[in-house]
Amino acid sequence: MSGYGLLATFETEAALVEAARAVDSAGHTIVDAYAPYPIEGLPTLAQDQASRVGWAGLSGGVLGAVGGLTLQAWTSAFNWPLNIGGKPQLAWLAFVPVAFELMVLGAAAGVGLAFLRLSRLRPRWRTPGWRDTWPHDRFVLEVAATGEARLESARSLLRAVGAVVVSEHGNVRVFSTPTATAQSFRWLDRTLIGVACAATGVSFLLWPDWTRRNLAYAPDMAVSPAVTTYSSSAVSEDAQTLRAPVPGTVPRGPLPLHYEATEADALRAAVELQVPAGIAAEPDRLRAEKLFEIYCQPCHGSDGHGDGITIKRGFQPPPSLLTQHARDMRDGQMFHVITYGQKLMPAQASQIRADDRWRLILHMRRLQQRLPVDPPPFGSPPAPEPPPP
Amino acid sequence: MTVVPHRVGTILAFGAIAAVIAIAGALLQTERLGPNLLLAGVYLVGLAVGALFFTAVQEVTGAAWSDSLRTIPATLPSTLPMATVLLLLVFLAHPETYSWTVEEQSGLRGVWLSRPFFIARSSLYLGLWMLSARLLTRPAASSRVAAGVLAVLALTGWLAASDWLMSLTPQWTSTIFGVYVFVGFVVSAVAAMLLTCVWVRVRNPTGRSVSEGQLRDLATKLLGFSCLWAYLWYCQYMLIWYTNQPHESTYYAVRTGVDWRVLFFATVVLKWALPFVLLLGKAGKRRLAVLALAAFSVLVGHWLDLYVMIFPVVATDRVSPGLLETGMALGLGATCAWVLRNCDRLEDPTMTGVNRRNSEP
Repeated sequence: MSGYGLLATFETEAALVEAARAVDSAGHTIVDAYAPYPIEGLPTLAQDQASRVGWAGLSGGVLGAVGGLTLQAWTSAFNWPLNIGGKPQLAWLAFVPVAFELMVLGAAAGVGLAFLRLSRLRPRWRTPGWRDTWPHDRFVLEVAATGEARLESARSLLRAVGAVVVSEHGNVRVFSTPTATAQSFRWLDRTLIGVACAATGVSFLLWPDWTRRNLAYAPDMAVSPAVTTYSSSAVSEDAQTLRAPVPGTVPRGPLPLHYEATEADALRAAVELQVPAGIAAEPDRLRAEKLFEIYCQPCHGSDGHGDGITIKRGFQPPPSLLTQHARDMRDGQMFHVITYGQKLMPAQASQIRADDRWRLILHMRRLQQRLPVDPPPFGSPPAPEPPPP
Repeated sequence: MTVVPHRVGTILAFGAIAAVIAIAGALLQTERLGPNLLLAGVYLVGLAVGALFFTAVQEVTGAAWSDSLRTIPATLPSTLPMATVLLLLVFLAHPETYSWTVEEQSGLRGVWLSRPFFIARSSLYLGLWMLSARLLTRPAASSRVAAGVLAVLALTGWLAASDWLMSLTPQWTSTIFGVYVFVGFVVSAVAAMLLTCVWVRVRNPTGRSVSEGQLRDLATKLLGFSCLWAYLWYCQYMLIWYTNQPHESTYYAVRTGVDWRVLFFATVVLKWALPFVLLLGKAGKRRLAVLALAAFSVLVGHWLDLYVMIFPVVATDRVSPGLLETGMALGLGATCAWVLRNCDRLEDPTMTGVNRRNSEP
């Protein structure tokens, strides 16, 4: 491959710079210059020829920044909109750090790739052997010249400007003869490439669904044999995964109540239900107070006068919990009222546990003991006689 | 009797015009005088402290590239006496600029923001800076002294920014504020240096004192420091925006409100975005007009940055700068021109430590 390029060696820095100018103005291509230290005027010569590294860096940076912004905008505002701390979903200000990092990454990758490309350092199996005979303490100019005539004119020009040695072995980085050792291991390279290609091909054939993970190490955690809640079941006759409980099943915890939301059933509950002994023994006053504050106080008021915050905002006031009527009401009936609701009061069963409802009743009893009796609401019918115990 | 050089007359005339405008403005609006004096004082302090920082860094690192430019950062701290006068005028004659002089603060804050302590601290900062300037321009200046100066600058710059600017809103605190202001100082000083270098180059294109490579390096420094400033601006803004605590975000709520929004974001454009675009490429750094535009943009942006820091709290009557502000800004320009007027004549730069070492056989 001799004759592709020329390596001219010079004794001084000035000779190298001068030769580079001469070669450049004669129209030959300077591949590179080698010197033991950076030379001032020389970079401008090289820069005028190839200054595309900066553009590659800019493109990479812009690509990275735009990519980062797009990724974040798409993931957090379009594909899966999330409300994070009440910030707008397209929170550009918060996207900046990631976009900035990706910009740096893109710019660095762009510069690195452009550097490799412009230096013609592509990835290869065997790195080209740098010639040990190259002088490290001299100034060397590498000139590309194809064709005998160009080569000859370049050689005579280099001799004329004072090159000490002009060697023809040329661009060793592109054309290098592998060493004997490398030759003998070539079969290994080929085997490895063959195995990689075969494995890729087989994987394409065996796992054609690219939308899911096709191969996983120890997949038992990710793919469990249990069916998920709403997926169809291959086992049950109606193909439903969720099963209804067996008829007559009794849930754990409080027993089911067999009442309707009617006044008759409320009176029945007054007779049948009592405060469970466990709760009467340990009423847990603090919890009861807290529950009252959460569920009752908004309408009934903190003392049960029926002057809660919703009343101040215009909601129909409930009768006071401190009237004689409320004091005479049996625990069981009160439990029925809380559980199923009464008139404007909605049922609370879905949000207050049964044992907590009993605790609330005990809390109201405490209020009634502590505070004076309220008069009955204006125009209300006389309280019915309490049913006999 | 020496002949008064042409440029001295020009600068004096310019300064006189600025003074007339400023006095007219001051007579019209006396209540805006305090904040204006503060702005001018802090601006001059910024140039001086930034230049001191630059010189000290060059000394510590033993940089040789900037040797012939050293005259400029060595001259800039001459603005300090003027700055001292302006700041003392604010502290003594216009204390109402700081609301904490009227409303007593409680606890430790009240102790820290008491007038005698405040003035003593401020005098200490200014004194230390003048001493640093003296030490750094001595022929025997060493990198050890410069390292000490750097430590002093870091501490005093941070404290001065907190005292003079952050305490305008006594309830508001931001731990990054000192660094932000300090880096702003450095950016403004590097921009002033670059502008002066361009001027030297225009007056004397073949002179040895400023080479094309040095201009490019200085422009790169400006680009880098401007980016650092923008980074700190973003850090402070983003963190306050993200946490959205009422006692923190009120600072930005005022400045991003309808009135101040334009000036507030113009700061970022002038001090970072425009110079960034101008100086990013190689071609821009080679053209004197582009360098001058970038440096000027940064200097105006720095002025606007301080304006937006100071005026929304203390001068709420209107947003846009008026007669007084214009006069004061022109006066700042005249002061800087006066301080730097001889920089193009000094082919042999001040013998700083590095120069002396390099010139030794």
